[in-house]
Amino acid sequence: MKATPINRRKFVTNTALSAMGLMLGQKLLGAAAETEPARGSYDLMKEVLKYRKIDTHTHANPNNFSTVIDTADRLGIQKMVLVNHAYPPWGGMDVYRAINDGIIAAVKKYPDRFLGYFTLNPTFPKESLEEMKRCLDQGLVGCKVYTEVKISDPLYNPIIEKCIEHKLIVHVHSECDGYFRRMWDIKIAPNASLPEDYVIAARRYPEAIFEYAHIGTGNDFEWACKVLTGTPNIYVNAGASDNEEPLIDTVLKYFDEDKIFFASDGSYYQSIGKILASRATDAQRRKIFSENYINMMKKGGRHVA
Amino acid sequence: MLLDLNAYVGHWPFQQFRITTCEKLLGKMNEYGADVSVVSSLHGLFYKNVQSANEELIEELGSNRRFRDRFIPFAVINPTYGAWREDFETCTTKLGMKGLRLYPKYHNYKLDEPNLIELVKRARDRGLPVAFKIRMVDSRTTSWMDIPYIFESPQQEWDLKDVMPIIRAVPDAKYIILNIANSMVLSPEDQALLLKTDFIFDTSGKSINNLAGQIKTYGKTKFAWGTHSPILDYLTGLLRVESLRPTEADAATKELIRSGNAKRMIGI
Ligand SMILES: [Zn+2]
Ligand SMILES: [Zn+2]
Repeated sequence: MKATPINRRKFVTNTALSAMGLMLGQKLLGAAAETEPARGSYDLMKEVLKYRKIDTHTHANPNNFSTVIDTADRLGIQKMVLVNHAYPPWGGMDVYRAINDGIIAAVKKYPDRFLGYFTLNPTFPKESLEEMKRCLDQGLVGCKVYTEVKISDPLYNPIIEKCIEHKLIVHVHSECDGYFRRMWDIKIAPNASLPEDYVIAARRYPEAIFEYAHIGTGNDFEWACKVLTGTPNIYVNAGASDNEEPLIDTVLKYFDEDKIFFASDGSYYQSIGKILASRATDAQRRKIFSENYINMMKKGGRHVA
Repeated sequence: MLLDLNAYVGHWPFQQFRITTCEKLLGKMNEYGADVSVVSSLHGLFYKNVQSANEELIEELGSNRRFRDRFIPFAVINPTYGAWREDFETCTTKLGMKGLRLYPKYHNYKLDEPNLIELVKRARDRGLPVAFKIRMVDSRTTSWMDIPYIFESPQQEWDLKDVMPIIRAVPDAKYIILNIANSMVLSPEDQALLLKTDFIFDTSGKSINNLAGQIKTYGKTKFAWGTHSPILDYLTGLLRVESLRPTEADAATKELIRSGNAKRMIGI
């Protein structure tokens, strides 16, 4: 963005504000500092393209691969993690295998652009562990579950234990308690994982790494931050469609800056805009946009960039 | 020139936001190169007598010379509250306010409310734009004290189609539709009507997710940069504009969206 300098005098004559200001505010004029600080020159696209980016949570299918990659190119996103999942009514393991086959095919077709997580249904424990093995053999690098069961449900334990063994991040769709959930959403997604559920699971398995999904989208980020803070094995991604102004700075206040990931969840503009508009330092932006994820994956022996 | 068509001054009663004053907003504008912001009172929409909030805003704008040529005030009018016609007159003449922002959901009236239709006609006759918000905040994160237009509930958040009754009633007024979220799908009749209407979408809303394609659908004169500050981050609405490729929006088109379209509609 290059701001064209405004002809201030011309603009003043064109707005009624000066007359109005004289009328109502005259008595106050002169009271406060009235020297204009220097205007910054800010080039938004230069800032956008300055950072290497790994989108750690997005969804795509063969119908929109080219659109998604085109958007990524536009915004300087080098790699994207596909985390497609099933929806209720869940169906049998064949549904999950088909979703995972789609992710495996996408990663094979675009190895430079996509990483893939597999999805499972913990209510099928034996089949889920078999499916996990199959997906790992096919090159997928993480585990993503939706709202089939809560992350704190004992049904999830064998999957978390396998994730520990294979050094995989445990990533689950998240929601948050609050008015909307209590009134409406609890009937629709009774087993959605809430911040409190993450804390139970993370304390039960301190050697596992958990990722709280899309904090602040569809849920109260202040509530989530206050509950999740202080649990060192919970990472967070700041993805998805809501971009409330204080979000990123609040997450930075409550989380270790090494444990925050950039993610779009398909909302590419919001996910980048909210980081660039935050007070995060240049070093923190580098960490969030890619370095934290690269380092986390490196701990599991996976080199993603 | 860079003009933000969708900013506020003030507080939100249910959550802490930071860019609450003219001084703080001016700081953001200077940081990111914005020249002018269209503002109205944020907390004022919760006042029973919104005119007090309009006056507060004007007083704050008048409190420092540096604010004078950087802000354009819009009035919040509740056409179901006493003496609203007088408030409209005061705001648009004596107080120099250049347009209206109306809140049917917060002020609890329907879009076929006769007083609303009368107010929009009065604005039309003065050449003043009338702005409606699709939403203020995501209803999924809302407070238990906020309005009951809730995702997944029997009474949903607004879609674009929910603004159409007033456009049907007064098709020759000037409309600004802010923070577009949710569906933009209209019936063929409404779509045809909207395309003939003098309106602008600001770029702050999450449904502006393919601005290049949306320019093809609605035309390059139908969009203007907006932040929805202080609720949404300052840069996302601008990123949607600045990331357009030259093949999608030439320099002149980008300038229309940065300020030209809004300037024309406001008449400055
Ligand atoms: Zn999710
Ligand atoms: Zn998702």
